[in-house]
Amino acid sequence: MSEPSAPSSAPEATPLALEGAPDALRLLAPAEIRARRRPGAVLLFFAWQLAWALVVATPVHAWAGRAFGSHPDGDAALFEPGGRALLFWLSSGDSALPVTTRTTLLLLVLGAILGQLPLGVLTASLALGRGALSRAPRGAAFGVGATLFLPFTGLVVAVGLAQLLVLGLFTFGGSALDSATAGRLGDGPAFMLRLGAYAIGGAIAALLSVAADLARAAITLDLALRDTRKAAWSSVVHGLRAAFTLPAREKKRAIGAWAWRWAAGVLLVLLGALAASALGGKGGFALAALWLVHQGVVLGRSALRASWLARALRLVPRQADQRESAR
Amino acid sequence: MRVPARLGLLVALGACSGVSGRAPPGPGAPPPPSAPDVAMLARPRTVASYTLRASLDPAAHTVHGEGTLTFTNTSDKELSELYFHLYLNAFKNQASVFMRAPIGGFRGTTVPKDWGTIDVRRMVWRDGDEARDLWGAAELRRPDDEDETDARVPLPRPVLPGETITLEMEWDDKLPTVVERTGYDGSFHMVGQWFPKIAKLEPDGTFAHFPFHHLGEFYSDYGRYDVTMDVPEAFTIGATGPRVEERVEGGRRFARHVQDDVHDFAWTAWDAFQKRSETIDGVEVSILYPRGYDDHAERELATMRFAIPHFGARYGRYPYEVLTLVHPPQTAPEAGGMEYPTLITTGGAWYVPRSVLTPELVTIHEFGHQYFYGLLASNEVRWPFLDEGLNSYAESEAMRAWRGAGSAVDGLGLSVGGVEAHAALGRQHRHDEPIAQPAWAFATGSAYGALVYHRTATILETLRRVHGDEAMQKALGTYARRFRFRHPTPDDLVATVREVLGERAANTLRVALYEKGWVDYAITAMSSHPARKAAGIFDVGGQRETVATGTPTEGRHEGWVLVKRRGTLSFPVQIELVSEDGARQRVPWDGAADSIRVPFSGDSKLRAATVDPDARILLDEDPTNNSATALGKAAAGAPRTLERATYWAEILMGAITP
Repeated sequence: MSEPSAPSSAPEATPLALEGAPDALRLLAPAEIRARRRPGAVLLFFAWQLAWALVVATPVHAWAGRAFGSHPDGDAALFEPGGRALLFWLSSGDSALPVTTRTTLLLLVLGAILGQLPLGVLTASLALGRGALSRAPRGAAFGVGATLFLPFTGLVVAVGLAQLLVLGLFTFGGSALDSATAGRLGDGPAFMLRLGAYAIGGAIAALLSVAADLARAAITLDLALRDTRKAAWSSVVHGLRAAFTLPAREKKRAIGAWAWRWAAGVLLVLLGALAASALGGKGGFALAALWLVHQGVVLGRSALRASWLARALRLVPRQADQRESAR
Repeated sequence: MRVPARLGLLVALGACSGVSGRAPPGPGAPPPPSAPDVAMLARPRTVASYTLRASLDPAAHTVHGEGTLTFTNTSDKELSELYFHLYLNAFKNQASVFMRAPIGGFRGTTVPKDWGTIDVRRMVWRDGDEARDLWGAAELRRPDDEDETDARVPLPRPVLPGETITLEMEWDDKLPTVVERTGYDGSFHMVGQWFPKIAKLEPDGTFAHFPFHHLGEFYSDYGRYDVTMDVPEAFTIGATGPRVEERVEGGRRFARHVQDDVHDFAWTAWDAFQKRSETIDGVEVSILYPRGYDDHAERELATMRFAIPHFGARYGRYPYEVLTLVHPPQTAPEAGGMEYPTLITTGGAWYVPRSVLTPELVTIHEFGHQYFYGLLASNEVRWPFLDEGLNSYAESEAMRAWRGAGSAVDGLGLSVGGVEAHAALGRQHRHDEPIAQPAWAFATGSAYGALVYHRTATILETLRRVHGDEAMQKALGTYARRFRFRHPTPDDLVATVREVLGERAANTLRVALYEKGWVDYAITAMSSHPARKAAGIFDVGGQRETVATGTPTEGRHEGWVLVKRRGTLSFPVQIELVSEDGARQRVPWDGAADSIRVPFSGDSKLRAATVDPDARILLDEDPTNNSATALGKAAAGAPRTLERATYWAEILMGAITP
């Protein structure tokens, strides 16, 4: 799917440092910001996800290994049709279940926060480049990414709480609407109203995700363009303001650019589920093949994420634009 | 009646499996009859027959009823009193046995928003030319007890053995909001347990009477029901038995249904019912359902296309001309999942995806009751497992035969069977209480559900896996045919199992039902080493040879596996020994002793062993101790779990952060 080009009014990039040096690190011009030019950063982002996912998976893996690992076929029983072992495992009252569940949830939340560091590195790598050929910033991206960690974390907390609030409100509202109208409209229509409320809540939460990434882009550009460091919270406010004050046409472009990548990501997950369905609980080569398919899905989603962030970096106006529009 | 706990588990698993599901297979050919040579009664002995008229006021949610009961004393004793169940009074106040029972964990626990009552206005015995009023002397309550569901009616003179009497009755029902099985929700009315119903007369001249308990169901004599209902013209009626007459007069719809050889009568009326009908295997099947449930209606009809011939082959032909399925509105779920003669109520929200087979499970379960509740008619209050437990087994057997391993959830790589769900849920409370006890004796509703439904089904499924499909179906097929219309007891079931499967199976069943029987097979130790020649002096071919201690046997390994049986049940099992070179050998064990040391001999070392490798013993307490890996050998581990968990963690991490 093609996407609209960057605003033609965007000024040339302002050099970040060492202007004139042949290998100078600089903020790239919008037209130069492309995820496909940063395969290393995308791979690094994917590698972080894989590494942390292995950590998250460790408790459940250890638990399954303890329960079924001594079987000659290992945990194949957990994937057998009928699900006898799986149901037994989950319903046996094993004290490992709550421990594993809580640990896994904690690790997921921790990963959501720690993940802002590789996300910052990815964003910095997309926004910055060296020399006229806009080569990858490499090590410098880590430094900028580290600086972005606190503001990005602030964004996760602020937007995450807002999303929870929206989802909670619309879930409650949808249920109330269903109950209030079921007698008059019938079950089907009343439930459609409930689903409608859920859909609106989900859409608002998704729009908040779009705003969060636009804010990330704005924070990254702001960091690259100014001389003094802002407090993390000021950066968050600046980023959100930039996201929400984007001209309507740019907002539409942003939503469109995010939506098709989101849909592509969902399709990839479905593809992964179909592969799991086809290969079942086999081991050996089939398991290796499934691992490859699944990691291909995650790598594809990482590339889509990078592509979307690059688009966000192109869409968000830079300080010069902001000053321009202020006049 | 269904079990919400299982539905919750299945819906949760189904939600994880996605919305897609395979298209249902066709009904296929039914299996061969399970016990074709066993004679069945063609008709029951008629004891209590009713000719009734019922008029519904849907605005006031009342039913005015009148009619006659014709009752025959089939015992060999004179009867000086009668007992009548007034079930609707269970919802009269919170002092009823039903409402005051501190039972949670099962359906029907909500207090009705609108109370329900049944008030008998008149009960007259037409004794020759004399009209004898009976209700004036009736005892509705016992001393110090507010419950009014079990009325004693003294008789002015005894009813002699073999004598038939006719009682004229008139009464008024006030339906409650749907609490459990009966009541109203808006203009939807499910009218069950709605008339003064005489208690079951036992052969010894006593009545099996009881107050309506939260966990208890019903027990009645067979008879003929001739019932004429009238409702506003716009309402659609569904009822027990075939409709023999219908007319509209003065804005009221009159429908007369007549059915022989049943022990209850229920009906429903709603002005928003949709209807589909189809003849399946000679039975006119109708389904009444709310708007927007066309897909569900088709799913339930597809279920019946399979179920009627399948159950007919397993347990004897369904003997009635009609069957009505009622899918109540979503706002009245407690009216769903219930059985009455030739009328069952199903349930489930319209959006349940095809990968989650709860509509099919509920439908086939309630249809199965036509056999265990309807045609066998055991005392459900005294021995609830004889209906719900056997029917849960029959339901899961049928669903597996129809839908295969994923008979409960089947979509996107997740396949869960109904049998396996029974086994998982049946483990709860397994050491708490016996299964074979009255409904009111269970401490909690969750114990009742787990033991009566799931544990019983798991016991029978274990027997099936151990003794084979054919033998097990013959046992239950014999039981169902031999005791059709005869109100069998647990002793009849155990005796039939003894006759078909043998003494050991019968004893296993008895211990499992009455004594909280349990079993756990476990591999607790194993050893493997290179085989060694026997040391010492040997005379071989006229030569004397001395074999040194520890002399290895070229290329051979030996060892042993220690298998233990814990618990009070035992089954014959297989023990599988796996060598390092991948070779597998199976050793049968009768499984009766407390332990066995199984010798091993092979071309390579023993790597691992499993007891019950085919998972036949569904009752096994802990399948995780059924396998062991030799010391020093790398266990197979859980690589599949690691792969899946890692992948889903990656997906979740990408999804949960804004």
